[in-house]
Amino acid sequence: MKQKKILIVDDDPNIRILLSLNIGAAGYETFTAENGLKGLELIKQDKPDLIVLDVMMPQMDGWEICKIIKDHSDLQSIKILMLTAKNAERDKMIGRHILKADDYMTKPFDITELLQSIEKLLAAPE
Amino acid sequence: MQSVTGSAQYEGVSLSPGIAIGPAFHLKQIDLEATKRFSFVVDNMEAELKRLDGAVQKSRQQLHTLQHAMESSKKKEAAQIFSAQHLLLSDVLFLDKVRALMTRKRVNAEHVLVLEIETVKSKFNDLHDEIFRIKSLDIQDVYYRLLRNLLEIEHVRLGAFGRLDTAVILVAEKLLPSDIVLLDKKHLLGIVLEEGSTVSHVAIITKSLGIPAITNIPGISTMVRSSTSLIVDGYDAKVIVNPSHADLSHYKRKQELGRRETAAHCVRHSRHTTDGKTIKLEINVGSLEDIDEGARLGAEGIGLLRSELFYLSRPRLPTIEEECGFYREAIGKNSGATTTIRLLDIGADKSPSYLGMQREDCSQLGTRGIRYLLENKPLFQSHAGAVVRAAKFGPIKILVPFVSLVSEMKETREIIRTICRKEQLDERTIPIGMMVEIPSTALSLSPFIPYADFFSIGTNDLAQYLFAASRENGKLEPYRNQSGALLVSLIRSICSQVSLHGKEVSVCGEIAADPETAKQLIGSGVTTLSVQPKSIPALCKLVSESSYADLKQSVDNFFCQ
Repeated sequence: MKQKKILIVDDDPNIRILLSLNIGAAGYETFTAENGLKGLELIKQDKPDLIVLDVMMPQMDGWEICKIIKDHSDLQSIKILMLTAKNAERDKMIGRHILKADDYMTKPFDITELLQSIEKLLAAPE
Repeated sequence: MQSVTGSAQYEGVSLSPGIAIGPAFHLKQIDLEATKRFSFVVDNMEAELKRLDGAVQKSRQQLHTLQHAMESSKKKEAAQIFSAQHLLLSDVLFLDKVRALMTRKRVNAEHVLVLEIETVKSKFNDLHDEIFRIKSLDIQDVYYRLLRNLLEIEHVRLGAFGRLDTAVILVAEKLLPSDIVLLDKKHLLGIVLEEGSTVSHVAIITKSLGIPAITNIPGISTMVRSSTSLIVDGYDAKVIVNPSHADLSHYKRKQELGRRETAAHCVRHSRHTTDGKTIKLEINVGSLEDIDEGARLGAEGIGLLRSELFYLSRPRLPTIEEECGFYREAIGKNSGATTTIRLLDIGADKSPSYLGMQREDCSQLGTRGIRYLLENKPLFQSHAGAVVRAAKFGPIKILVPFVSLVSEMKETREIIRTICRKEQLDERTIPIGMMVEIPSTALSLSPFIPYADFFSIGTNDLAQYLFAASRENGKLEPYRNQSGALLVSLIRSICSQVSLHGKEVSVCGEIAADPETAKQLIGSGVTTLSVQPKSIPALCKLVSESSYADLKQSVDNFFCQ
């Protein structure tokens, strides 16, 4: 079966390394972007199966990327897992129910839970 | 509803005539329904009320900025929408009720606000009156903005539409009044809506901008995917999804016919006011494609061909032949009408790297335009040589930029005269005019009059120098626009000095595209308006429907009060 591609968009280099290593070890192909604009470029270019997306980033934040992807008929099937320090109930409502991210996890996070979420999202029908 | 795969045709109601052909773009409003379903208990109500006040302030500021931006770009109808919405946000009763409910229920601001918006909306909709329905849209629009600001997601509102690089046909369920800012996008070919009234703001603005638009096509936004090929027929209120080759060629012909009819209307009507005064409508050329568009729309010539466009678009200094080839192409496209070529206006913000120009501290006040050319004679000789040689291919006029001394005009005329002799051309066939864009020149034009065959007022620069506000800095727009009356008064004085000598005055700044300002300019004595091609049809209509005597009277009355 074709290896699933996961894009990690986060401005924190440590998070990008940590996620790349763990998600890669779980058998997925990973690539990363350090800000929203670069992320959007890679999304259009390589069309990943899932994006692990931070919210607070320079140039273009995760909210905007999420809206662009979920509005676009050719991109909306890409699963979005928001991973952010924004842990207020209001933020979870925005991410999950207003901007329609497929899952919402807050930092600090448990890598096992994150991998489980990725597996579940990629197993779900488009 | 399934998206359409084959070709299909739907009928609706036309909001604005015209034909648009291009890819669809599905604009989705942010779905704020969740704020109804979720409420959060608030422990610190004081902080929550403060958060609401902060969002109100932010919304007011945004509306204020939008109103000013629309005023600056002379979009009066759109400016009025934002000014009315700003007033709505000052509705103390509504906001007090939201505050009281928040305090009583001890829940978050978004939840109370969205429920209150629903209450107001249903009250208005129950009235079954078109005017109240439009009012209700304004209310929804302004309070949804407040809601998005509370959630801090106003910036994501446009989604991908804010980052488009191709022209599209916008498809949406509906457009709220403030979505009118979308219509400012140069990439908008047409609009298809599921719902929207023929007397809505959107209808008014699309008509005034000449954007084909259709409404009342239920389900279209779910049937059409972004990038699906569409044809919008605003004449017959039809939209064709995935058109066939036959449809495409039929509608391309219809589109061309529509353009020609508009142009024909202009040609029939543009030359005279109702009392017989001739006003010439010409175009400012940003690229050679503008010339074709200008001709289609009924322009009577090129009022401003910026020669620096050619210099700035290339990596090295052109030869006389290369440069002349550029003018020859423009003249050829202009089919016999006069082409006004402005000599190189480089310096300030425009400096080709291969010329190695020195950076100046205040480049806008430095060695630009004719000052630079006279300091760099070899360049001037070769440039003027190319311009003069172009006269062999059609009628041209030469415009000298940034003139501030009479000696500059004298010397320029001498250089051109010498080149004419060398090229065996009669210098009298090439009128030489000057740009009036420096306040000192505008205020004391008499000494220049013998040395210029015509005068062209560059209002963008004139306003910049008059009000000491750089045209490159958008924030300074209010300073540049602080007194349109002062600028018109100066233009009126220029016209009265020049008209005594039977010479022409044109205005080639974008203020001429605004109908109200155009009336004042004509009333002041300006005989030629040079604008972007898209502004020609509206000006044609204005000229053919106005009386010069009335316009003059109105300007005279204003300044003689």
